[in-house]
Amino acid sequence: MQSKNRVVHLSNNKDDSSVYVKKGSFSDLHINLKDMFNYYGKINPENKNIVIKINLCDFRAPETGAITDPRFLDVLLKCLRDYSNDNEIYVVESNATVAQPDLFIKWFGFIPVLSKWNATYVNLSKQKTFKKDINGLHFKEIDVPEVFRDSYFISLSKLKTHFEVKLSSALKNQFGCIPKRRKIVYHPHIHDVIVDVNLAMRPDFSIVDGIIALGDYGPTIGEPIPANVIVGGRDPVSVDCVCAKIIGYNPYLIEYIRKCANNGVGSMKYSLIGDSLNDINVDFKVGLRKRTFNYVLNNSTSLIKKFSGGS
Amino acid sequence: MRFGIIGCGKVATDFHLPALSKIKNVDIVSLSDLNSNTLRRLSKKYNVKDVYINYKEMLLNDDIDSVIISTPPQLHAEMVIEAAKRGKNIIVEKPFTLTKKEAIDCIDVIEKNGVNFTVVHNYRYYPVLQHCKTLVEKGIIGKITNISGIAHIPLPLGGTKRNWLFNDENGVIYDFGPHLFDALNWFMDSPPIEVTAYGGDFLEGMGCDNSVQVLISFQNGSTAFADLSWLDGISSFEMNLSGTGGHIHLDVFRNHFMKYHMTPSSLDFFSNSFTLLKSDFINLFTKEKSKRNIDSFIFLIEDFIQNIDKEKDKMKLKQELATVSCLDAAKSSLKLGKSIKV
Repeated sequence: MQSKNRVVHLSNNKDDSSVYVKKGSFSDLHINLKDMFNYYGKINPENKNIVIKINLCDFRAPETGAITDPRFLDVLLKCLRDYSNDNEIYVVESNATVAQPDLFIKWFGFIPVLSKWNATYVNLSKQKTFKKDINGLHFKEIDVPEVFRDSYFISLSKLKTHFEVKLSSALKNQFGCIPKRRKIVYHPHIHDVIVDVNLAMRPDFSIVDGIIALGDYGPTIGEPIPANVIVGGRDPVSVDCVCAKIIGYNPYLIEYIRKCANNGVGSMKYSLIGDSLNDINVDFKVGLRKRTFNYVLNNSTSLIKKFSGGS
Repeated sequence: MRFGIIGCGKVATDFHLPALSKIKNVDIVSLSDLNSNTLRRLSKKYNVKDVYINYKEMLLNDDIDSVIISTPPQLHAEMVIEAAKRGKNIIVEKPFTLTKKEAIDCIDVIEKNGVNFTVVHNYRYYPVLQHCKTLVEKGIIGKITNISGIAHIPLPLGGTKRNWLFNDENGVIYDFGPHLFDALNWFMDSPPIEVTAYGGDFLEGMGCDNSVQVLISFQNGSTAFADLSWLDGISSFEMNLSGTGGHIHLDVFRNHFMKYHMTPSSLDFFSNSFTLLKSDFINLFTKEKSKRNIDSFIFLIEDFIQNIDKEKDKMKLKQELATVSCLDAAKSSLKLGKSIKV
């Protein structure tokens, strides 16, 4: 299907659909990240301010696999500072219906990491915004927090299942860039909204932390899965395709990935660098029966309305 | 009876006011809150003309027989004392107070002024707890030897601003601990004598206790174990009552219990699962769960209104003091790393 004629800011080889996959635990992380950055050439070649969007979606400790692990951020910041000590690095997250990142940043051990590498935490919900015309699937224009203006954007997401949209990693991470707190109102149109936020705030580089991933129900409660893998690349659509395959999904059956590809966010035709997906043989507990039962149990009200013809 | 509400936040808005409006012969005559927008909204909804920013001015109103105090707990002691001095009967939200000393000061004034008093331990009025209490009183499981209770609750972030919980002085013990400790004391029906607490801040950066386990010994020789946590993502309030003649397992949130007098068989577990599944579907397709919650407030207030038995009052005050004492002792035990006499 042809991409629609959309203006997507392409620079720095953003049409590079190679995806880096590397097995390893936290002890291998520094070497693996350096190896990944070396493959892609200079990260942030224009030496802009760097924005790193992390994931603090719920009050769940990092070892559950549900949120960004401060150990991962520590190593990533070290790698970035190896390149330059001069530029500003902002670590960002927004408020959500049940999440208060201002508290989680303190409680889950991020403050010492930020201080160590001279990075600044920014709450996107408290930022000024500017309007960006995207003429998207759900939004005509979208509010973009100021911190993203003229910056190098790294999406640091977790490798997680999602009870509603199947996968939460590179593309879904940008849903949390919407400054509005009550993002639950977008859930009925979530696939379209994920496309739109990636049109507005497409990451320059996506890194997915699957060292402790999250399986079973996801994206906040579920089973921690020690997948011991990192995934990275310039194209968030390609990265998500690989993440879907690692979990055991066909990426073509994930609506927002297809829509992002169809609307110019990236490509579903990727090439793999690093380890083979066959080497990552991990059970994410996504059996159909359990997923279906859990989905019905937790969405009964909306399902009843839908099937009874209610609004 | 004519009620005044002090503190019109989420708990008053979602529970106390709707409950009062459903009870016969009860009028909401006055509201007090620091937020004038809240007062305007609620006075319109409940047709209350008498509103105050300053609760002390409200207490001067002789039209009010009773007050419901639904403010942050660090204000409870001062407000209970003021209300008791003005001769108002008092319902106060949990936790009653944050320290044993405050509770004793309040009880002194309550007794001196002879007013009715209760703390909002509304779970006592859940059907499953009422039923099991009756079974225990009838001796269905003999003499209680030990009770274990688990209250694993999601962190209270959404809705009510619970920031008073997230500091070194309070933490998870003061979130659901008052409900669990009250239930333990209620079933045990014997004064607690010693408390030992373990646990603390498992995140090392939260600045308050988030998973605590408490062992309580009682005058009658029995023990209770309370397990409180915000951490594991589970929402559960369950109790196991062991006695010389049997065992009861209670699942409060699901309004379900199982009674055993011998080792449960696989058929018992199957039957239990079926009952739980039925309960889950009922909760999904009806508003049974939220109705049960509001009903518990209605029953609590009705019981308060009807309670004129001074003996029952004294026992109630003793139990409330026991609950606060256990909470206070648990905090001290965690800090000092040793058992605390209650």
